Amino acid sequence: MADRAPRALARAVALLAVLVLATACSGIPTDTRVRSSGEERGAGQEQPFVHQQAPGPEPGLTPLDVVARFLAASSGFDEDFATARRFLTQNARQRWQPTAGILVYEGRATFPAQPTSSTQTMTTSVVGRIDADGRYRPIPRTEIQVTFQLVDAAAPTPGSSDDGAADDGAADDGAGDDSADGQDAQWQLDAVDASGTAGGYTSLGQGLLLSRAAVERAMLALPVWFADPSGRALVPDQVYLPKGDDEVPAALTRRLLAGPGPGLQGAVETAIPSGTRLVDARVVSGEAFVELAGPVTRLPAERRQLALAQLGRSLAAVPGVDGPVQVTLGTETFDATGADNAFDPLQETLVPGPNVLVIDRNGKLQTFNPGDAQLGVMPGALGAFARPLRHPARSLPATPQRIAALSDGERGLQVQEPDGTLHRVHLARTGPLAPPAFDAHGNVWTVDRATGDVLVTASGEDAAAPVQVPTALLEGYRPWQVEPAHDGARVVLVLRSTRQPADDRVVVAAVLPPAGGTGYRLGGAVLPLQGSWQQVHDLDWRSPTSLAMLVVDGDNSRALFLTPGTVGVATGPTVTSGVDEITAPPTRTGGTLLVASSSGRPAVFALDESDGLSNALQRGLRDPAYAG
Amino acid sequence: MRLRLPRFLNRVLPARPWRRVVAAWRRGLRMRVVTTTVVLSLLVVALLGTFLFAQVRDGVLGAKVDSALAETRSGYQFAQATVEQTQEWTPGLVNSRASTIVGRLASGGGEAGRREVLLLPGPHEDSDPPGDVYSSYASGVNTPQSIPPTLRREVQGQQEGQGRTYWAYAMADDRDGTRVPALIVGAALEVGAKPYELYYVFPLDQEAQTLGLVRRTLAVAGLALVVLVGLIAYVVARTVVTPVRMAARIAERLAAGRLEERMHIRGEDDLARLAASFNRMARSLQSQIRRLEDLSRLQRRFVSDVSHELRTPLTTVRMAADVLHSYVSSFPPDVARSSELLQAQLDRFEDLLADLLEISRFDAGAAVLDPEPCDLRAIARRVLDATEPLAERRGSTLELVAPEQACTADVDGRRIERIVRNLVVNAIEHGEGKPVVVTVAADDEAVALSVQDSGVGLSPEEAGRVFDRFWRADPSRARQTGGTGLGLSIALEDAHLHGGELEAYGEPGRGAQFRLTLPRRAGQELGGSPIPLGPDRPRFLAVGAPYQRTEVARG
Repeated sequence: MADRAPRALARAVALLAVLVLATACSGIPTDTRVRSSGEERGAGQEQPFVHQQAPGPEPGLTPLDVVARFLAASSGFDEDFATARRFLTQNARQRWQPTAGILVYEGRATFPAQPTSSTQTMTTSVVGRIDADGRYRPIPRTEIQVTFQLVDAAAPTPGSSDDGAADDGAADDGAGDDSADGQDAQWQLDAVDASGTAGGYTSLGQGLLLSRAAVERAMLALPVWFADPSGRALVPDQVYLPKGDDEVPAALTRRLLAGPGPGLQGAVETAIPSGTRLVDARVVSGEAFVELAGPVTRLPAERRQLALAQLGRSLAAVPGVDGPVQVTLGTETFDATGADNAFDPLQETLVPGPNVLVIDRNGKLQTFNPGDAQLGVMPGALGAFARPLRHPARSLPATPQRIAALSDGERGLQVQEPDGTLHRVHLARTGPLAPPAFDAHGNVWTVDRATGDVLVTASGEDAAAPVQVPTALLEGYRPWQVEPAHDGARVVLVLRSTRQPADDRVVVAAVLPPAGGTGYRLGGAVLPLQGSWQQVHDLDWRSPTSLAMLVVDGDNSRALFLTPGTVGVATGPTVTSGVDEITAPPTRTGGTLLVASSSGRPAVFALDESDGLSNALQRGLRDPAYAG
Repeated sequence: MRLRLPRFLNRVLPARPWRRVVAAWRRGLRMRVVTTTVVLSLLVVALLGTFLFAQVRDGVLGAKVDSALAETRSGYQFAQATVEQTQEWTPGLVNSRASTIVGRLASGGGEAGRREVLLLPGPHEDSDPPGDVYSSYASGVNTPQSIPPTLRREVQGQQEGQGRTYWAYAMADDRDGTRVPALIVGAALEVGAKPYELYYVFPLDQEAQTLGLVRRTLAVAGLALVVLVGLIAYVVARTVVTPVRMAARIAERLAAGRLEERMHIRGEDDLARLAASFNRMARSLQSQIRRLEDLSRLQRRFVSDVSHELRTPLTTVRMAADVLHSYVSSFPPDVARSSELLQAQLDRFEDLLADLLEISRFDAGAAVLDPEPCDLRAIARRVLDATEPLAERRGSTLELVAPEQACTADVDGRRIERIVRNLVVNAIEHGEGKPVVVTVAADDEAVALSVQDSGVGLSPEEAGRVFDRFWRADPSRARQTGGTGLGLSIALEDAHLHGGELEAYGEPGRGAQFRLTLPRRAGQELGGSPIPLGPDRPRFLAVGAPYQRTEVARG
């Protein structure tokens, strides 16, 4: 028993030591072991949407204050226009249809009347309209006057109406509260009259009046994707949706289910059959989930793949989506991520190498590597073409390799087929031809600038055929240049005025495939592009949804970057005078833009969106052309 | 209001649980030690936990407030720099800049998405140009209404260019539509000469989760600590209390006469020393008690032997005295008087010897009971008849109070009659000529007889010693009836032999009462007595009642 006590004591001391050590180790770790937090997705990474809340009614506001605040509050999509409704009389609230469309005006509105007058007239310029389906339709800039009729809320309501369709007996829609904060203005808006204006807006029943800035701030332009008639390429169709709304995925999917807008009617198709119903669409932790029901659940595998591609690419652009797109069709769930790759003639990024065609100072066709500015020999007949060439073009990598160039003083269009044979598919009588360009099907497009004929040489054909252009476009204008989109379903057409110089128009038109013995036609609801320019030097599709343009702006050239179908005003860096050619790499995500001056001292430059031109990559070269 | 428990609970729960708990609390040292330790440690843990939680909370929120203030100041400086870049302002430009500032502040720095930025214009003033609209901008789900009005007033009241930040806790909206606690920091800003208020809303849900975790951890740790302390207290108490309890049990056994019981000695600690001391004490006690027992046994044996040895010569003396007494008429008066005295003292000596022998039998455990059903009323009547002459001589009246129905019990009639006679004679002797009342009563369990006088009475101390052998309340008072001083002792032994009780009560100058209570059946436990004893004793006769024997029948 005498030796047991020291042993027990030793055990106790050892246990105490272990406990003390364990306690001492429970501080902040200082080891250098590398730990991973996993992949971060979803909320927190997106650019936050800034909610605007216009000030509501207050005592002491003048009628002009009320009108101004109503206009400011009219972009309150995220609050279901609650603030704006509080400025309206009971009758006006019932007539107001804020989702019926948007008349977009630009510039500061002026109100010449006295601020205290019960009738306020706003003078401003309208530039377009966003329809109820969210598609923007530019209209020629027109100055309009909008009359706002206000009533004194303290006085008996006169019962006037802006469109004569007052519904005095109708119940309140319940969307707003007269006195949400107990401080209402004395004046209330009872009627808005803009009869006869462009864009079809006449009254509160026709929707909203929003400035371009308000649209850009409060709305989101997103493409919904359809398929070209061959089902090989996806075609974007821009739609506008309110920002900051949890319903964006559902609204975008509904737009997709509704089919293409008027701008692409006849030029595209959709794999999602009519009658398909949206069950659910939401974004959770960066992943998009869509559930559809109806005929879409019975699609054959090939069509279903196209439908998944349309859904996947459409929803991938929704803010907050940076993960997979899960599509549930009936009882089956598919991962639509990457399904669109099979329907894209464009690569994600450009493979480095000699992927640009240029014409050297001797008129020879050569290859050019923008990475190291090295020239290379172009194999084939066009590379060995004896006479000087201009404006080369190459078909997209996804199609059989065709190369085109202009010869004979830019009057002849030479096409080198994939088998190496060379055809002169067209020879203009007088005028030069516009730089040729290829679409997704391998067709080569150009314009006879002397006659204004738009010409297309289909793949496998050895002669160019004219393309029908809507006569409405040709009133006072003549086609000057055509640039087919990489999807082959759209072209951008530069129209030069026949009446006055420096008045070029640029429109995007749908390409209607040959049918019933007719050739290609341009149709759909032609979409004009907006921006300030006098003439267009050159343009190219920078991505499936955007264009890069070189325009004449005063004494200089300016690069513009436009997204067709949006209200955004084109802006861009000013570039050196004389730079008049631009080419964009055929990729989905952009890449190095190349510009060149074709006259004087030819040279090729790289163009950065914000920094402008680089130093000349190579002098003595002109007409740079990526594929497409 | 008393709580009525369901019937099944009444069956399950012990009756009067609270009393049981109190009793257990009083009896159980271990329970008191463990309970007290647990309650005290719970108190300490609660206080310590509250203190620690307050420290952690202040630390967490302090760090959050510091970082929030720093971020707000940084945002304020950025906004200020952004505003200063513009010289010409229009309302549209003010709104555009405000929106830009909010977007930039919301996306840059800090934990984007975890806090929201709001830029609110100052209140509308009549001096504002008509038509100018200044909107509020918010990067999240919170609206201007989420900002506490008191905070807005403080920010609005700030002097231009001070750059001071104000903050407050409030409930704010979260992205998932819930309301969460939030820290809101505000500063005043001017955008194009228009006063604006810049607010950062920092949700504190993560801090709340952290504090919740700390709270739960402290609670669990505290609870575990209390349980641990309780267990330790239990073990310690058990270690200490078990030997004490064992000592108590052994002490009880010793007290019960099992003098050979000893404590088990283990180790060399204090408890072992206690056990050793206890055992020494037990041995000493055992030795003393044995010696006293031996002495007592020797005394009893001596008394018994002396009594027996005296009996034979006494018989001879008696016979001789009887012979002398038979010739007393022929003796001269002085010799006759001596013969009479001899006869009387011999009677008394025989009584004393008989009592001593009876006591010796009790001491020797040789007293044997011969029970048979007897009516206590009949015994009382016989005794009263026998003692009536004595009472007449003392000037006392005898009264019997008895029920009409029989008061029967299984008793040894001879012994009970001896008890009653002893009590009645005692009452007459000390009754000072005042009435003596004998009361008989019975209930289902017991029969009782009470003898009550109104004589000199007894003090409580005297009542406690009245059954001692040869004890006299007043030794100076001459014995008038020739009692041996052993009568009440024998009566008590007789009562105990029946499993009954004989009790005395008295008040000095107001008489005494003796109550004999016997079980109805032999071996039955007594629960009470049908006749009250003490101040509530019945008083049937007034003091100084006429000398006659009366009997009162009671229904």
